[in-house]
Amino acid sequence: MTTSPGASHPAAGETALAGSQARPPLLRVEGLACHFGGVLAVQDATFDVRHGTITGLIGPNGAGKSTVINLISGSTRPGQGSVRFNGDEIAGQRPHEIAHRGIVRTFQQANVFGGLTVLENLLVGAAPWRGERVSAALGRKQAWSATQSGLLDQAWDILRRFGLEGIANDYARALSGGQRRLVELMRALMAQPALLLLDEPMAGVHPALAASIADRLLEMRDAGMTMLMVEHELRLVEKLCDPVVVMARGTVLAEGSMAELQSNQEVVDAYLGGGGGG
Amino acid sequence: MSRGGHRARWSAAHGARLALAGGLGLTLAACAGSAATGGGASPAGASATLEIAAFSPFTGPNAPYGYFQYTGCVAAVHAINAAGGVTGHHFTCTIVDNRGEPADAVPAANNMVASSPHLVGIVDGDSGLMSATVPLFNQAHIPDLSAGGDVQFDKNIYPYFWRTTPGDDVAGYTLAAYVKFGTGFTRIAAVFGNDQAAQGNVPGLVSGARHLGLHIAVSESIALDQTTYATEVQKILAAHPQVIVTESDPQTAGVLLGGLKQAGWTGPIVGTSGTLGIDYDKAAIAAIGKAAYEARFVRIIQYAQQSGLAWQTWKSALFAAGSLVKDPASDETAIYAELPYDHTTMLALAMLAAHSTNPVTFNPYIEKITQGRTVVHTFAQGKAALAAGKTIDYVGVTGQVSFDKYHNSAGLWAAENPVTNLPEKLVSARDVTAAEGH
Amino acid sequence: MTLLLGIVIFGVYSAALLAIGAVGFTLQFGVTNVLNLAFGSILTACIFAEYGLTGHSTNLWIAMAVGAASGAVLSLLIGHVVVGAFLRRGATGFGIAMVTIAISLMVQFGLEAIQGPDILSYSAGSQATMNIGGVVLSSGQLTTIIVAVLAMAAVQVLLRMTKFGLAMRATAADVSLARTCAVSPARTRAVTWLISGALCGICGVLLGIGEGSFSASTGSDFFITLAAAAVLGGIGKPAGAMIGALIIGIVSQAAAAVIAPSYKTIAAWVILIAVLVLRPQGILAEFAADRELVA
Repeated sequence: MTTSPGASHPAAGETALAGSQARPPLLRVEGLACHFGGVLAVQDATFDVRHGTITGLIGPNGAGKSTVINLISGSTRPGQGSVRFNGDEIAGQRPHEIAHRGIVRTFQQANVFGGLTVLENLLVGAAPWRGERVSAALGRKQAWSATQSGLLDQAWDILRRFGLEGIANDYARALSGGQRRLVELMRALMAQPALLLLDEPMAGVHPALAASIADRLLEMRDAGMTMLMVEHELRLVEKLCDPVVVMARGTVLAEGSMAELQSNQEVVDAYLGGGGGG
Repeated sequence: MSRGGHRARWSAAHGARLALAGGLGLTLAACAGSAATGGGASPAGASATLEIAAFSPFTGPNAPYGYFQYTGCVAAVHAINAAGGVTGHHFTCTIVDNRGEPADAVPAANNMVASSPHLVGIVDGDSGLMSATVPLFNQAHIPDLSAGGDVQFDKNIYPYFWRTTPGDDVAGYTLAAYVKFGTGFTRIAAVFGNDQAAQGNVPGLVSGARHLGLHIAVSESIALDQTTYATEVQKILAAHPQVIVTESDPQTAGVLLGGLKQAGWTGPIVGTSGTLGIDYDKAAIAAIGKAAYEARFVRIIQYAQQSGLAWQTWKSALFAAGSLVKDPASDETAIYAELPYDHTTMLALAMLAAHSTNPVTFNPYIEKITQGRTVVHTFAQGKAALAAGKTIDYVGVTGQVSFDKYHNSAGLWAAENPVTNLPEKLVSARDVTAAEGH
Repeated sequence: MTLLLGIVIFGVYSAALLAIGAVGFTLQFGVTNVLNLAFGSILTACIFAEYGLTGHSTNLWIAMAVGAASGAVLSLLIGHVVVGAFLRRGATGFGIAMVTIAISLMVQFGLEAIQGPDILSYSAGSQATMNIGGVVLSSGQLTTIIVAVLAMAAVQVLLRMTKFGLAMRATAADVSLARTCAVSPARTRAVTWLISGALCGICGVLLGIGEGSFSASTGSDFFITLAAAAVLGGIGKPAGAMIGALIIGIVSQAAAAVIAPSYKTIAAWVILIAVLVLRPQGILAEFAADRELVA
């Protein structure tokens, strides 16, 4: 039923960073299950996300891809199963606790703080909330200009990298859908995440912009960032993701490179042969 | 002004007593029902014992008023009987419970008139029912001496109706009368809260000022419970008044008086009986200080005497009436008990003056015994003076009576110091009548 | 001329008093999403607490500190602990509003049961006054204006310049999204209850001392106008509450001067209704669906 990770696709290991096979995976999902009412959304999902990869998560509508992202990020509580991050069990923890660990996500529908400026959106995403003390907040000792200039620099740096410093002080609600995607992505980067969960980051984005986002993601991967990405557009998946996990009807069908999967009859029957994501 | 508002003014002074008397009144009514009870020793003989009815609520929320009516009547009857009664007749007081509701009061009045052959007078003190019951009494030719405040009886047309307490709107006239006769100032600032009770004073004040040649320099009706009245105060002082006349709730008063002080007002301030009460005192003292409150503030209230022959006689009759009066010590300064005492005494004196116990004959004498040459303070004094062939002017425990053509007399008022609670100046019924332009 | 100056100065004073409370109220609603109708009663409780703890005549700054502390504690207790318990059980907005009404009544009548229906009064300390072009302003009123300006500035700095303020605004805008950004809504809300409670307490003490006397219903009466200022500016928007307070303060003073004092309250409410007809979400609102905490 499930594919045993690490054994079935030696090719993936070759494309990953050298030595990653020796290291335990960054994220290990085992036997994860979740149901809404009587409907099983995810059953017995098992796969790994290894360091430095963009692991793809594909499958037909209703396969349970977004639910898996929700389960990992804590938005939804799993019924059973295990999610280990850097060896620690995180299944069932609350979203902000999981975020504290360095797992940051984006949403299917680009989610921005409309009432905050682009720059402020980025700053909210900055990681070191854990250092925030209530007393400090009340005493207003942490004015941006003083101790957090480092964060400001980081935010401007990301904005420049995305070529968006021109809209830094615009309110996010005034942005186009594509721009919101970018803001969301930049906000996620502010946290310097150990694992970035991307839920269809290109959906509804103008193709030119989508290509630009793809380039950014590859840059990030090359810089050592690990990502788990749900995506329907198979050409993008092929360009970005290795390995790719295929889900159908709530369970993991297969795992491997796109080339491998395209030769897997079961996968082709269940998904690829159906003409891609609809 | 509403019935509740009228009572609220008095309840501030007599609240504790009312509460206490309320329980007693209920007990008493429950025992007595609507049957006659002996008001004094009545020797059997040719002369029937004459009934005075205390027509009031004896059950329900206003039962304390019934108790007061009955208490005043009983004390007066005791004094009258002790002085030999009227032409051989003795008197008794009857409880008639109208429950304070028109639906109960009309049948109670009809039943009383139909079943009491010796009924010669009614004392009532019940606002709100008078337009339903007074015509019935009038039709039966039974004199009704009232302490009720219903405003429509300011211009009463019923010959058998008499009232020695002010209509609920008379307070405004008393304010003008005090400014005219008590201070000598002529420029008034009228500053009243925009609630119904406070605004009830304004027409009387304005009209009284006109009749007395005073000038309302500025009239402000102020929104209650604001955080500042600085703008209002500026407007008031810009009109250069000599005296400020005011009523509002304590909270509003505190802010208003504080604003007046802050803006430098050092003139006199005259309050209505609506400013009675410990809360108002506290707020005012907080705003302007105790010394200024004592020196510059007076309130015009209906005045109940606590000394003199009339009061001494009332007090001893009250204590002598025995078990019919439950709490004489607290009733001795209760104006709602003093009024029926005077009313009952006036009925008896009118009979003496008319040489008749027939209401049709003695009714006009109810006014005449307040207009004679010899001032009398008690029934015994009056009886002696009349026997000596003199005309009398009865000045009872509630003071001078001066009926206008509507059979209304405003009673005695005083400007009371808010700190010492002593009267500084009296405002007579005649002063008020002048303000009313009658 | 003096009258005009008076309208402005005392309009600003009224607004200052209103704004301190209104900003606290709106901040609270914006971040916690709890329509706290017990705000007025908590305000009253703070006056009682200050009066009881420091007595009658006291230094205004100490009084405010005591008021702020008691407001913060009460607010945290009522908002975070009591209302929070209902929220955790999944109570809805309307249910929560009813809970706060119940709390409001319990506090108000509790105070009345302890104290009785009588009013309490601060003794009349002779305050220094200053004359500005014929308008006499007391030191207490001046202090109120200064405190309001300071408080407004502090709230702005908090929301604009600090990471915690950003967390508050993020929580106000989108709780679940804020969570994924590692913001702890529970802690953000707790601190918001504290801060808004402190503003409530300061407002209460300044109100009590400014009016000289107070009773168990003082805060509930004042709350209506305070809430109006918050709604006028756009509920959940501190800057809006400040503008709302200023409008209500000046309009009511102008109405008292130009029309008649009894139209004071009416004028303020007419403005409120008119603004809401034109801008249903209040002056500062731009998008109806976008809840936020724009400083």
